[in-house]
Amino acid sequence: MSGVAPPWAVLLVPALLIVLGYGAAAGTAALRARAAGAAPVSGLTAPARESARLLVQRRRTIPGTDTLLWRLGGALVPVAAVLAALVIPLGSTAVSDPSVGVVWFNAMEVVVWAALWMLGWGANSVWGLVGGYRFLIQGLSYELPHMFALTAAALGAGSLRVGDVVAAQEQVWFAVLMPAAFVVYLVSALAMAFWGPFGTPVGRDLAGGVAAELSGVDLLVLRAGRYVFLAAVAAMAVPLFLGGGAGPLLPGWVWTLVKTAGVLALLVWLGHRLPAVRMDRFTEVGWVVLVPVTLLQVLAVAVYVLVR
Amino acid sequence: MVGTVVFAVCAVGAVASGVAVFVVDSMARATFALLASFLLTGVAILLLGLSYLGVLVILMMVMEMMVMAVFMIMYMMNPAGLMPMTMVHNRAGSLAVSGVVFLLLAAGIVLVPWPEREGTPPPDPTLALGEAIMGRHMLVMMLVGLVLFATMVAATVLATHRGRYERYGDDLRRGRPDDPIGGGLDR
Amino acid sequence: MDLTGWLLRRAVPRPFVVTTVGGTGARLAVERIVRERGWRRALSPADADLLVVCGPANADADEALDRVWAQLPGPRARARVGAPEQARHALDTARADLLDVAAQRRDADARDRSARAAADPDEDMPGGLPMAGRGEDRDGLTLDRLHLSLGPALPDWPAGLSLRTVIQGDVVQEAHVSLVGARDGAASFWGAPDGDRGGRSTAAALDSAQRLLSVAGWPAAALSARRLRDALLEPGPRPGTGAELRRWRHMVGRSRLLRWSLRGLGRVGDGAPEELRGDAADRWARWLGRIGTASDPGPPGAAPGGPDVARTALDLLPDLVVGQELASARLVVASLDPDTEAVGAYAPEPGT
Repeated sequence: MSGVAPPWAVLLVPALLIVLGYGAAAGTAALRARAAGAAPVSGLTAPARESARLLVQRRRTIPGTDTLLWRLGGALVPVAAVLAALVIPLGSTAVSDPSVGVVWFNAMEVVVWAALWMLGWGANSVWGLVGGYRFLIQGLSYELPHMFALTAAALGAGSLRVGDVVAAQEQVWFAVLMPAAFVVYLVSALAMAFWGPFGTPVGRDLAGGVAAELSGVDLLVLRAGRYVFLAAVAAMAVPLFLGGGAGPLLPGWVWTLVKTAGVLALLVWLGHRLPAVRMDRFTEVGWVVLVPVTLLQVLAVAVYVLVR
Repeated sequence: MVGTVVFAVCAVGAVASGVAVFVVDSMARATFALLASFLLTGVAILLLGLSYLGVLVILMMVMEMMVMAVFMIMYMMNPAGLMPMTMVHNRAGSLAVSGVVFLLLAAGIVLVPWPEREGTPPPDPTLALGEAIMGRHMLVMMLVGLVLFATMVAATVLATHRGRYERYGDDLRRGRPDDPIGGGLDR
Repeated sequence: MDLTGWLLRRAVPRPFVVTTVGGTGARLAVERIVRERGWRRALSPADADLLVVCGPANADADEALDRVWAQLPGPRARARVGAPEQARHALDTARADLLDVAAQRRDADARDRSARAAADPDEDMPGGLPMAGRGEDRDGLTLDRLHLSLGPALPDWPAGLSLRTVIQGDVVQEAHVSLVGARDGAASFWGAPDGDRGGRSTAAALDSAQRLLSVAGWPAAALSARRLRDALLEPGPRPGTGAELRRWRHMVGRSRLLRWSLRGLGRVGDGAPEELRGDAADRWARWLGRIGTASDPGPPGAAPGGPDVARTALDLLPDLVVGQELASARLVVASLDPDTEAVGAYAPEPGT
């Protein structure tokens, strides 16, 4: 059912991700304005005004930095998000639908590990270094459950091709069929975008963590990149667990966007309502609870596929 | 044509970044140079039509090199250590050894009579790979997996100097383990 | 067209707020204005364009503040708020300074010139910085020892507190406490006589709570707490605040994730004053209790701890944070929240 989009669609992917990412940033600012007792409408322009500030701000030069890795790290975050999103179908059409699309998404999302560590290391600052270490241990805690959640979806479809995963959900969405995998995917989506409760690598207790020494356009690229990445992982939940572009009346691409916006809104709301998760405590949860849960989920899906 | 160009870029890039590992003066840069070399090799594997293996190389190498970076750097350098350093020890000896090894391998490429290709590539190499591993060699692969896992657990047990008696007391009666930093589940 | 000026006028400033000992009243006024104008406080000097110093000047703090000032990337402006009533004017002036494009360009050029003049390429030590020393860590591994000074210029941190630490990885191995700019005879803002129906005691608890919530990574709940705190400190009737306070208390009190994060941190024995006993989760529950008794009609809540409690907290601090991960150490400090203004001049006991 899936087709491959014309080459110019490559430009559409970053554009859509930026629009969705801006929406997430504006939603966050609106929730914050409400908590501060102001009108939530003021949140709509807040990301644009913040970008204006960062565009004017000067870049920093710090003695002893590893400038190459430092600048590269920040730029890698949005690049990884766009590369990961290339396999996500809009409706029934993706820019590319390789036979291993699910693994491709996984591989690109892991690039953020390297990106954040480079950022933290390069700044020659203790805050940054600790933030970089924190993100690595966060990665090691969420990655295995996340991989098993992806495996469950691929197993249910019998294919690593994202288009096939969507096609396999014609009768019933995988979010219904494998709820544990879906929930683990959402948790790991928060964790891999270092967002909300999993935002400690850039946390307030570390004075900004890996971003502690960033300013100006470098900081803008990292902050925007994080929202773009959040949009990309939210968008991937749609073909994997929410039936892709399937839905009544409206065309498929509208349904994909509506569902993506819904998942994104849920992630933003969770970020607003939850305190940070301390990684020294979550690691044990990840390995002792989430890994067995997702393994059992994979087993259940395997049995379902065999008896179906 | 496009494939040839991409292969040439990846091949030269992989060798160049491999050389860079021994040229750069920082442990972090050496790590990422090595990572770049692995990633370019992964792209070369993609060119062979082995998309699963190629993407898996990229995925695994990023994760592995990040863990490695932490270990290499925690024991060696200050943050952003651009302190002049070198990855090479015993310069003359290592150059001689690597030169001889390179010549041997290159001679092998030229001298070995390569077999002619028989048959055609499978329509879905990923499926063929899965069947090769999980079909006739299932038992071997499972045993290998088990041995690897047991090795990792055993190495960790040997490396840690705190066992269950330190954690739960001499008679193992302590309800909560006595850890320097507790985990999230109190166990 | 002057693009820089156009962008600057549309930008929302981001102040880095530092409080010196004796500046709590000024800090509350600044935080209130920052919140009402929809500004956000910066996490680090690199992120900020305004440096706002709340409280009286003193030589030790000024030295630290000058270092912070040098870290602001620019365009930048500086404001000192000595007393609460100066806050509005000082912030307005600083904002105007920020928008003065010509002056900002002169500042940037001057900084570039002095940076070039000071540049001293050192072949052996990149950036002229020495290499980290090494030492044995908790597990007997030889790791880098990094020296990190927490405070006095750190967001969500007690005024004037300086915690000099040695860390390996992200675990604190050594810690020394001192107070910057503290002097005998200074009056504590929260210890002042309460003429306002127990509102001040609740506000003090809310101020401690918002700080802990910020450090615990729940900015939205912290923001609501600051808004309620400001409403409680306002003279005159405050319609609707009681109901909102109950809603906020219900929301944060129900969070099991927060209690899970705080549990077991910074455990203080029974010999200490009652306010400090138990772990961070116990102290958090005690604050919520104090807020609860004041939000419902009834007797005013217990007064916050006096100088002895704060002094004991400072004495206990090094032992509580050593061996802890950096995030835990920050939570421990926030959960003790020593009222540094009440202590007076402080010298750690020898041997600690």
